[in-house]
Amino acid sequence: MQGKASSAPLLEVTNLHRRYPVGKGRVLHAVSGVSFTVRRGEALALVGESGCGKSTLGRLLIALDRPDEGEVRFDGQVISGRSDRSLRAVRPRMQMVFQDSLSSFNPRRRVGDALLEPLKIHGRSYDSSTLERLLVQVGLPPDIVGRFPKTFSGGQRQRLNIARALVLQPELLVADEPVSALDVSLQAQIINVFHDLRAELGLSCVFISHDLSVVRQMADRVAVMYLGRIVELGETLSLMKHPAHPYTRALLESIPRLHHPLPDALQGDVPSPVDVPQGCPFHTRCPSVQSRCAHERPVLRPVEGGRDVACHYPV
Amino acid sequence: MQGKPYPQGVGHAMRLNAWCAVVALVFVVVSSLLAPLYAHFCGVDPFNSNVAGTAWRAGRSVDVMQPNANPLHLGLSPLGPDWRLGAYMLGADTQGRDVAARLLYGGRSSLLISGASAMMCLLIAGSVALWAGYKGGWSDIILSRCMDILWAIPVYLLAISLSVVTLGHGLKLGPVHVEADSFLIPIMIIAMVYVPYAARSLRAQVKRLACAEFVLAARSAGASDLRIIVREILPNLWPSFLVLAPLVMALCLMAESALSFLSLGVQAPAASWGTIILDGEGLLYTRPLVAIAPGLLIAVTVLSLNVLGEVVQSALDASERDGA
Repeated sequence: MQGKASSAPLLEVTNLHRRYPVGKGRVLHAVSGVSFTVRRGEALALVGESGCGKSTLGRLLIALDRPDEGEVRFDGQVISGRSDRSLRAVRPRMQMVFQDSLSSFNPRRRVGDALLEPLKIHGRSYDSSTLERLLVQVGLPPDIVGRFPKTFSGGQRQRLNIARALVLQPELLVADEPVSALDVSLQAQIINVFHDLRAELGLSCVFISHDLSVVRQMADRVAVMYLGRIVELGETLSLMKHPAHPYTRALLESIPRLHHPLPDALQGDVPSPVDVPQGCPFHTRCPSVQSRCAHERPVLRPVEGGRDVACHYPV
Repeated sequence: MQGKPYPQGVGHAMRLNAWCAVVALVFVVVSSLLAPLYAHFCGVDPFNSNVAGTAWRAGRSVDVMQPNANPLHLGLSPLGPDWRLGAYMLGADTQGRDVAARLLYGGRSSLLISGASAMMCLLIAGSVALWAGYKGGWSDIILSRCMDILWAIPVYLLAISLSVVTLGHGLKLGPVHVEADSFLIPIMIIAMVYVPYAARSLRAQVKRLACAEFVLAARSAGASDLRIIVREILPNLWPSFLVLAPLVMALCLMAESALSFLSLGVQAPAASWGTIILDGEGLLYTRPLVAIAPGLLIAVTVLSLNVLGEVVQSALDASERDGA
């Protein structure tokens, strides 16, 4: 398994599309032509407003859903569109932290049982210290294994959620809104858990979030999504400092800061992913829209500063 | 518990209902189980006709079949009830058999058939629902349409047609041969006709559970379909089974009685509450008790089962509400 050159990307996504029929012949384009890579040990964040296709993309990444077009390669191996049975051997190498920490645990199973389930599925050996080590890793006392999911607080459950994703010692972790349901002090704790894990285990991570301020502390690179497309992709710090896409800029400006007046919010709502606007999908709300934007769809192309931007007139 | 917006558990009226239902059911079940005891101690035979028999009334022996009270004393009427514990306490039927003993033995068959068919029905419905609801796609379409087709045929019409076909020659399923007078035939028929009723609500439950994130989590851990169904979905389906079981059993009991009343269920000389109503039909004007007693027993049992189902439902709702 270690034979592959470690410089090759761990996860490679090429031109991924996912459409859902919504009746009357109409189609919801949840993910549309997304391509990116995740290198080993890297943390990538997918950021966008709710409904932009982040969670769908997350499920496609670990083959819980099938794309209509395009492919996902994990460690050089195509994993998209394959049957669950044929994926059994790869599954342990990529795990997901689910968004809703309450509904992601079976209400009728004790959490210790739920945490060990992945090991039982793969017939791996475990003993009492396995659970203990795992719980210490995410900062939980080991005496909670006999309790039911309902009896935990949101923060504890989120730690359990992470613990379950770690039990198979994956190489890739996809975390869907890992901190958005928590209050700020808990957010900081969970962010630290991820920091420690990445430092200890060399995990590659994909964080899905709607909150750029959280992403700043978690990710090496950021992909900003709008209506199922990546509109800007680049190193976290440079992207935060000099956003090139008007949408990224608007997102950054919407983060409230001390001693700064709140800027004007974006006009209007996100268009429905069922009728995506002609031309640039963002032109209906873009503050610096030009006539070309309404007809011609910009493609993601590299601009200076090692950034990819899908905009005719990057800032 | 202070600060709870709702009283914990189920209300007082509900509790009383539940107790009444449980007491009634226990009474019916236990007395049916004790049927051989009654037959033995009173020395009555519930199955063979006994028109020449005698019974003790007020210290002397009387004929079980009495001459009619018309001026010419034409024809015979069976002995009426005397309400004292003992042989012929509820009188005799047209064949001189002890009605009380037949009621007890009839209860055994009625409860056995309705209980077994309810279990069989839930077993089949549960399997169908789990497979259709979890797999979705073509399995779901095909299974659900089959259920719709079955449900579109009136339940009693279907049960009657199936009984007429199987009663002639019994049932041959490969090497298995079920005799025409076996209880298995009504059990299978009644179970089958109510499968769509139970499968429909169970499938909806499974469908809801199948998109829960904990099922996705199991899939992403590499669990097989069977493992997900058995270990993740089934444990969350038990409450629904618990609610459905008494309701389905009540339906099965009514279907069994109806079939037996039409001579299409339990076959003579065996008794069930339905066959006893049929026996009592000809005696409605002289000995109405023969038809009324089994009718009352059916009504009480069905009512209790329905109340029980409702109580279980609201208790589960309450625990869901308070437990969060």
